[in-house]
Amino acid sequence: MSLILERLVKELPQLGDILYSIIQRKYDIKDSIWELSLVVPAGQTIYAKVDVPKDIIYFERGYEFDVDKLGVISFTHYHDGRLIMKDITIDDSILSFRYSTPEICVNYFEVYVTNNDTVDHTVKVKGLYKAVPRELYDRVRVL
Amino acid sequence: MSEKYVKKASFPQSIKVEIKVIKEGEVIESYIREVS
Repeated sequence: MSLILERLVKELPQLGDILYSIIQRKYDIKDSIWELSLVVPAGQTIYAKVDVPKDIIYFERGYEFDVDKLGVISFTHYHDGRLIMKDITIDDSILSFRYSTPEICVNYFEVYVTNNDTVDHTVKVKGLYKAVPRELYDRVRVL
Repeated sequence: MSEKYVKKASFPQSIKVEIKVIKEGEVIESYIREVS
């Protein structure tokens, strides 16, 4: 059933929007933001692993970055061990990034922020997501 | 527990964050903390 639904949504994107707006209204799903502001020493990488709360899952919609220097910070990102972005250099084109379709994250996500410069830098990462009740996700998943 | 690498960690709910500092492929520092 979920495969049929997935195919329908792929072929009729507006159906996905309609279904999503119904679910969003019924379950009061709101936009949320997490934020990490890191000081990354020269030539080093900061790794952060964040556990998703047990009662929700994340539908990641995109990211916003704020760096004190462009072109010297690279970003790698995983959802539940699945590679989402690999060694993306943070420059003008990526400062405000949105996925074409939300990326699901069920249990945890990981970020690697690498400073390729010779001086320390501060990097702010904002994750834009919708928090969906885990109970709803579990019900839809087994359809 | 060193906080010098994390200036701010903000999440709508209380959440566990594990931090590692990696230099030349080696983890030189790591810690876990609860943030909200």
